[in-house]
Amino acid sequence: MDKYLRSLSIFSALFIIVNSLVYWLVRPDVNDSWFQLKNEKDILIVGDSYTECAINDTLFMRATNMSQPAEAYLYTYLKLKKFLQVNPHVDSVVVGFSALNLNTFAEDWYDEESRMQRSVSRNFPLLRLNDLWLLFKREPGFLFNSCLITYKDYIKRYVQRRRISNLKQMNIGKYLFLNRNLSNNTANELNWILKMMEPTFSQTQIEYLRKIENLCNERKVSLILFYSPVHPSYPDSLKRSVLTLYQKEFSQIPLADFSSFVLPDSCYADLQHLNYKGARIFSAHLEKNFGKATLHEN
Amino acid sequence: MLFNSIEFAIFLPLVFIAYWFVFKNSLKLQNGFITAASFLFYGWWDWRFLLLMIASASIDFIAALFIEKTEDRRKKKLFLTLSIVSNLGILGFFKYFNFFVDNFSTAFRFFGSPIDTTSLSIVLPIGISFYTFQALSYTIDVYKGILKPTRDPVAYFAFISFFPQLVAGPIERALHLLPQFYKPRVFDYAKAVDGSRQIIWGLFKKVVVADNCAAYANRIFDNYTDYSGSTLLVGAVLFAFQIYGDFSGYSDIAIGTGRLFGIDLNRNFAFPYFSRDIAEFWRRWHISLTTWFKDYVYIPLGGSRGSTWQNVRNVFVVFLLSGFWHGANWTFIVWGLLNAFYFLPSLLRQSNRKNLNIVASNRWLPSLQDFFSIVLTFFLTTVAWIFFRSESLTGSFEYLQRLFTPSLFSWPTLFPKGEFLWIGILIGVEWIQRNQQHGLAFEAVKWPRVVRWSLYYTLIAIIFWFAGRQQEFIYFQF
Repeated sequence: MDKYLRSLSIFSALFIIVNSLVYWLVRPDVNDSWFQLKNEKDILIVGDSYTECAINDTLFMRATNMSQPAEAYLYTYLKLKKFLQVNPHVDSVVVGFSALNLNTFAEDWYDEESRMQRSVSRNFPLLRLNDLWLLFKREPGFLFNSCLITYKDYIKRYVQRRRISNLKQMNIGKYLFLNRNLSNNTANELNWILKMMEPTFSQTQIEYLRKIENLCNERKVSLILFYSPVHPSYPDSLKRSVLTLYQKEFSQIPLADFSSFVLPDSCYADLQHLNYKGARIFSAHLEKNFGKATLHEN
Repeated sequence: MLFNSIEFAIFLPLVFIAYWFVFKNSLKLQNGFITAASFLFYGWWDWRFLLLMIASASIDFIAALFIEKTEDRRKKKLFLTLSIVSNLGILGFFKYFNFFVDNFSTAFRFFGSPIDTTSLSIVLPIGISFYTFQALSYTIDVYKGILKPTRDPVAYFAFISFFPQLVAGPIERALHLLPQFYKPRVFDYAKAVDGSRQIIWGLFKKVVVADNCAAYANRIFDNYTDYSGSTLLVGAVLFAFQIYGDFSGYSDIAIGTGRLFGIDLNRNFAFPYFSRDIAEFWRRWHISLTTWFKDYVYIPLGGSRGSTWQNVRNVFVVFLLSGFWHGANWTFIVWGLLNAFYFLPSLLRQSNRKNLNIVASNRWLPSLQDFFSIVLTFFLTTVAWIFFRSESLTGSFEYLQRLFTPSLFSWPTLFPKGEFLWIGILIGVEWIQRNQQHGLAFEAVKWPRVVRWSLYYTLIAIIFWFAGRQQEFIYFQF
């Protein structure tokens, strides 16, 4: 038995050592300078596809949009932590706050296999042990696969001489130029939205939003919750449910509720997202009014 | 808990360490622990399945004690019948209820008297066919007087639920497995190392060969109307290797894991795709099920001792039951019958025990005759797998119809080279190892450690790097 365990331990240790060395060699050498924002960029926008499509940061000049579609607040938190550490000049953080972010449905953003793979892969250099532990407790198999896929991707990139060497290649967020118009038949999308939204909220999202709040408090940065413009046909019940949650849990944080911001149909890609035309108008509005009317738009 | 899951990767070392270090000095505690671990392993899917398994096995435990206790033949038979009826009743309800209801309904409708029937939404408990057959063999052997019933419920449940083989075999006989729980296990270094190698080989077969083939086989079988004959042939061949990699891979992992715990499980696959005829194939494929049917159905029916007609009948009964054991679908039944037809010529010519040796045992390559026999047997088996894989009989026949068209001779539109590379490696390694128990069995002393470990590392790297999308083991559904 001792002999077997000894052999197995040496075998495993060698395996781990070799792979750690390989990982060390191929991993992206994440540098603080990657996260460095220009001095005039003092507003950081994070969130999911709502903010990703709504705010064009080339028009809203003070802002940097680092939103990602279906991004769980866990990853938002990690990203923010890094950005705020490197950019003390950032004075405001805008966090997407919509029905989609907070609904129980958003638990899938942590647990669903392909989403976890994508998120872990992109944010791997930012993940700490306790974050990995949280994901492990939820879906150990998916986390293992996600880490394995990330590792394989790093090796492939290394072999092909295209290691991740800047923030853009990390692909952890940006403004999305959406060149699509509202379809004539929105009934399907409406049904889909109503079907997937449950009358309950994601506790994990709430927990991580609190962490984001604490982080901003520690860094003395203003935090603004942000409901992006949605189409008038978007169900009011969803908006109301989120506002109820806001009143109950986060009323101490300012909320910029643009969910009823008036835009023509041509500005929407679908019921939930602005297309580039909408983003252009809306971003120009923010550029002009942020800090004045933004928080009291509605 | 799947063998190829992170949960199992945590479960196995923990159980292994506790088994050999914490409970080593007490046989009772060690048996109790392995039983508890097995229950946990099984209950991980659904604890209700666990209760069902315990209830079903308890009936056999008690029935066997009564069979031994009574001298009255009629009472013995009564207790045996009770055990068989309860086991097959549970199996029948969970696995075949809807099948029979649907078919009765169709039959009545066909004869112009439609009846109202209700199908139940029944979840099939995982591995029910395996543990039911294992438990049945226990009471039958006690009834036959070739096995003394155990009075030790812990050893008995360890035998029924031993986690490596619980959900997909090998189907163990009490005569072989139960006594191993009566005596203290001694850790055997060589056995454990060989078991570890067998686990690695099983994982390679499952994760690399089967799971990768599955992606293409599923695509082709699910859209067979879109593909040419040659692509359908590719699909059938990929499925043949998917099911082999999946099931024999599972068996390798199970047997290897058993050996880590000092328990020998029966061999379940003996390189079946190197068989030279169907009879040999069935001596090498799912051996534990084939021998179960041989011992408990074929021989009691008279085996090969009766007239030719009786022989043929017995063979058909066994294959029919074997097909039905696999699932409540006509496709499995036809698959079984087709194999019976394949078997028929060698039975009638009394050549079914011709190829008992290992093919080309003293040579590197097979003779031309052996080679063509192997190819023909593989081809026949692959055609039969089409029934096994298809969703319905209509689908199977359509698949075959489209397969045997002139487009069979065109270049396939889907030809996954990577998957065929893995199949080639599998065939190559198993061909070289055909005299051994499994693909990675070798005498360690002959190979320097550097070479051996490099081989293991390479295989592990391949498993991690080229793993296909995780698929549940096919045989779990049986």
